[in-house]
Amino acid sequence: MATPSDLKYSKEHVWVSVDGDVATVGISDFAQDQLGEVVYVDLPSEGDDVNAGDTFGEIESVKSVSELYAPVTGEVAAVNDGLGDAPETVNQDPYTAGWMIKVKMSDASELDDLMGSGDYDTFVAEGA
Amino acid sequence: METWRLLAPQPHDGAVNMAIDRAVLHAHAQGEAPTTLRLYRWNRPTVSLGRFQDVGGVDLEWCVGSGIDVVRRPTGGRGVLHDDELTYSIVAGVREGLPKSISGSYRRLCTALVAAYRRLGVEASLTPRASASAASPACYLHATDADLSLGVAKLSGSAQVWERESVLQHGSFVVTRDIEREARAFRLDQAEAERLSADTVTISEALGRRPSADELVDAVVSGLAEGLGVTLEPGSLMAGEREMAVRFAEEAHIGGVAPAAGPPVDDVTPSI
Repeated sequence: MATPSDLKYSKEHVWVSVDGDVATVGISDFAQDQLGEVVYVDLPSEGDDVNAGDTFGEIESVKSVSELYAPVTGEVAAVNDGLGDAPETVNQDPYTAGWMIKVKMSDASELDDLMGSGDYDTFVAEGA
Repeated sequence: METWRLLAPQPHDGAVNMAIDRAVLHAHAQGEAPTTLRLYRWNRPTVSLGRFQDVGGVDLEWCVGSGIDVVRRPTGGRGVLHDDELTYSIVAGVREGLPKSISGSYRRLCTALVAAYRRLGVEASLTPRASASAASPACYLHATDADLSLGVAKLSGSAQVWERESVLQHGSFVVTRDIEREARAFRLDQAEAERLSADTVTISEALGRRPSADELVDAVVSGLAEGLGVTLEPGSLMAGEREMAVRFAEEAHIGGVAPAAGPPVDDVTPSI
């Protein structure tokens, strides 16, 4: 799967789509492939605060629990509740239907620390 | 050759066992704890539920009334009844060369488990397939990349939790299994109980005899050292790990005997 060029990426393999001051957040195709079959996604609630670099949730695949790291700081404006019944969406469609949370950003300059798709592809190829 | 810390097979309450594993992982992720192999036993039969598993998957009232503790694991997966077994936990990380992918890390660590089983005389192999019984609350009715098999029967399951670039993987070396009790704890129907019996195998069944406690520990320690390509140096928990374990034990306890107050008795250095 090609890495979408209109998104930004963190070193923790989280993508960000920006619309005004709202960032939509999910995990990359590389990340879902590394995780294997996702069976549960534990996400924050609307109104919760998330901080760049800290965990915003957890994800379980193949009896393994991994942390999800927030790429930006702000307040959770929306949560993809559909992942509760269909966590496999993260595997099947990581960049669209598999989105996880929307964050109303408090510091848009944090986006400058994220990678474009080309740099992210290089980061992955170098053994991220 | 790399040296790992070895913590000895000391029995604890179930919540304390889970808490120590979690504390070692946290300390390793902070760069404070060494890479560790821990072996342990359980003070009483204990059901451990997976990190996100609904507590409704176990008959809590029956378990507590039957002297079975119920605890929450930090790791994924389904319920496990820990009884006549030796449990292992490994805390390692990407900085020690462990693959980051879930399947790659399971493969590396489970290959070492195969070496331990072979020391015992059990021809274990990695399980390449996923089982169909996705709805069952009992872990041993599932077979995944995280599991070892003997022929077509499931021999051992493992589960993981990652913190930053460190992983805790733990699982059981099952000596004997009480199918009736396990079926009752997880409310399995007769067909599921029969499948549990038919699709799983214990070390005693595989060997046709019961290994002694020392034989099992010796085989696991030497086999894992060989399989991991490391030297195991007997050690003990650090003060910080013991303090963390007190808090984590309260969080892990669900039902049955509450974990004893205060820091856990240290894992005694083994004479291996």
